[in-house]
Amino acid sequence: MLKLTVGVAILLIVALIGHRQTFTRLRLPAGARLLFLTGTEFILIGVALGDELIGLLDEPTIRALTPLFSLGLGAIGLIFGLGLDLRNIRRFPTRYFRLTVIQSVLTMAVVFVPFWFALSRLFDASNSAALLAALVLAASAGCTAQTSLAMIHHEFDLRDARLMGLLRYVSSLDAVVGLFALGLAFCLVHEAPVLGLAVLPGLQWYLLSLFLGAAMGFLLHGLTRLRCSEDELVVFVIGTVLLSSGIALYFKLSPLFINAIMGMLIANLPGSKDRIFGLSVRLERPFYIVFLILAGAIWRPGSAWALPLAALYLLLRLAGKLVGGFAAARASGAGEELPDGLGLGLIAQGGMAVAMVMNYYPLGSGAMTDVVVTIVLVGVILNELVGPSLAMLLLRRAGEIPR
Amino acid sequence: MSRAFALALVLLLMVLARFSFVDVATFDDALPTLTFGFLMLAAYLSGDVLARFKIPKITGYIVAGILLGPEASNFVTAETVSGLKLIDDLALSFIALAAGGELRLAELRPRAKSVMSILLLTIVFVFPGVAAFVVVARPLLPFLGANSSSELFAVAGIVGAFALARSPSSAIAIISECRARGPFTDTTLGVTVVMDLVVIMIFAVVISFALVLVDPAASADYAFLLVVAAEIVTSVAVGIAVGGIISFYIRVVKADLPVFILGIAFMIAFFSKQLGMFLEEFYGLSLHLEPMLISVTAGFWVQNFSQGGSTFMDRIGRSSLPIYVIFFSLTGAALEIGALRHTWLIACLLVVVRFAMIWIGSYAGAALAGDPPAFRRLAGLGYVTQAGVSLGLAGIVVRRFPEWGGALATVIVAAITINQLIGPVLLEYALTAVGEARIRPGRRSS
Repeated sequence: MLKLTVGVAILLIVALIGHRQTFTRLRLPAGARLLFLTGTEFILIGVALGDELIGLLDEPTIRALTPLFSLGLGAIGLIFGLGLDLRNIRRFPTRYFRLTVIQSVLTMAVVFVPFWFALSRLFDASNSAALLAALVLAASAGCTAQTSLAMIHHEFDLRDARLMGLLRYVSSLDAVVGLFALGLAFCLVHEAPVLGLAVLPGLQWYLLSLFLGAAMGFLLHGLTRLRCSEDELVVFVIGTVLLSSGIALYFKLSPLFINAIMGMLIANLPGSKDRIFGLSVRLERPFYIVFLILAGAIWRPGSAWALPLAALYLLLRLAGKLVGGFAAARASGAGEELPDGLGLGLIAQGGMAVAMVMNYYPLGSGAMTDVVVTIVLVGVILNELVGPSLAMLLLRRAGEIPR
Repeated sequence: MSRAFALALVLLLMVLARFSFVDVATFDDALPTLTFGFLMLAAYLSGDVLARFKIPKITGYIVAGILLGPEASNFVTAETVSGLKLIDDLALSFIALAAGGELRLAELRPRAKSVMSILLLTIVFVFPGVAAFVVVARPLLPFLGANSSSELFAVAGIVGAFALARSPSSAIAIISECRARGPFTDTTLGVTVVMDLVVIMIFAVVISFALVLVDPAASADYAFLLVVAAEIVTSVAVGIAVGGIISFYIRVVKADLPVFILGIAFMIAFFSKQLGMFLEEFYGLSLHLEPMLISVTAGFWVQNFSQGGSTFMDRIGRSSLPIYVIFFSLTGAALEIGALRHTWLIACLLVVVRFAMIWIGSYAGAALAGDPPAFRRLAGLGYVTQAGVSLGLAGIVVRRFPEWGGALATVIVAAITINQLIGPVLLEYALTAVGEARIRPGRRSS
């Protein structure tokens, strides 16, 4: 037992030291640096601590830590929502927004259809369970990592580069479509209506999700608007995120979506949004690290289908991003200004995709759930590795970074 | 939005979530998360509302926990409270790290005489004083019935030992809430932490002799004494090691310190659980002492034997409020308030006698150390609160004395409940009266 405890302590220290030293001393390839930048190594620490290896984070322990896991999940949603200030979005041309939405929808569609078909046939799952799993995969495929582009932006000092500006805009917003789809996916599997009317129960639950997000947003807004110290702000933000995540999970809805709605509401109301945003940014990293460690700990490979399906997912997502980027550029009217292969700049997938699949994990069950988690985690890690190189290739072709 | 209105809104949300969608399939594993968030908001807002009546916020959190808990409204069920046990343990480790970090040798050294004399004289007065009261109050302890007087003395000794126990977690929470600093604060915290250690040893001795009193054929349980001593030594050693690891981390890495501290708290909870299970299985002993002692030692080590003390306390301080709120509201929810129904008279008398003895002992101790008159008068108010360790000890009594241990534990738990409610009020009053509280009761921190 002592050996185990000391082993875990050493593992944690080594990981955190390695994480710090990576930035200060070593010069790793962009993809590997991105893995550290996004904290993906903590998923691997979670795997090491989980049941499959060391066993410190076994199933009962993970269940006992569900509140921390849900807090991380909710906080990711809240922070994402807080970034959706409509005034900032409106500063960019409308065609950029159209491009973002079309690109995301097409990517999701390219991933969703084959996976719905494949999951329904490969696993002994109900139609609604396969639908939910396919929608989760599609929603996560639509996301693009902002950190990847930020890293390139910083490294090459691309302040005035137009393509880079567009890519960063798309990456900051394309998860919105996935999030709304994810919120809907959780509602569609509900058979009992909310209001007692036996019509469109899924829609009723969707409206309830939106209402819940808005209600929690107003509650947090009201609590923090007046006479609120910094300490109190921490309590109110954590308490509200936990409560909304708890209610969402209790009703088998999406905590990520509901907290994002809450954040979106706060971002667009006058009041203490700047303070909440500042606090959320300060809390983001610790929550995110804990979340990733727990995500790694609950990761099970599932069945033999996991890796072939992960490969299929990678290919479909790449195709979706390329087709989506191409079609969206034309359909939005921005096509002439943009180089071909816009989707190459949107390959790195990021933490939101991990959050989406982890949102699905507690409510799923059986081999299919494990496989879906494996597909996304493998996809995220590989996409983070190759994403920056592909984005740099695109930017080189567009002449924004030197060849 | 007024805080009272916000509280009503949170309650309404909880009622709607829990009771209005009865036909809907729910995911019950989410209840701890739901309860955690609900308790954090409801308890904090209750504490804030009660603070206007000059009641410490932590008393508000405890009261909210009681009212929302399984023994009252059952918003927070017993299953959920036990589902949040690991979170509670993490919070305890975190609070104890803070308590250890607050013990600064440079500030404690000049107070060493006061700490030692108050410690010694409270033991001298409280232990025999409360024990004598139990002997006198025998008619109020029906479970003793026609038992022999040797059993009565055993019970008296056990209750006397219980009366010595304190709650470092409550003390540090009040000190933090008031932002108190000064010699009185240092003395109070020093006495409270050291007493938590001393009381375990006294308790072990008393239990060993009580076993002989109850069964004269038995010999004194020296193995029990040894195990307790070994547990204390192990906990302190592990605490020093953990303190060394934290210091090393602060010196070399520094980044993501809150996550690292959470990881450390988790490992302390894990280690304590394993050690507790081992001691329980082989020695029938579960003190719940280890996380507190390990963490206090670690915090103390970082503060006094490394360069990272201020960074450590700064990071702990930034995240302390939510931890206090959840820890004390869960403490309230877990309190067996029902125990008071049948034992309120003896419990109240015990509380009064214990308080009187503590006050006399502290007054005498402070006078002996040459403390100013205000310190002497107020010293006793700082040592009333009881919690975690006392409850762990009650569990040992139940196991060691199966015939009447359960009934005695009920009386003890009832007294602990009262002390846990009034203790913070008295400590906050004392800190304010000596002028060391930088935030007065009822005011918000800024």
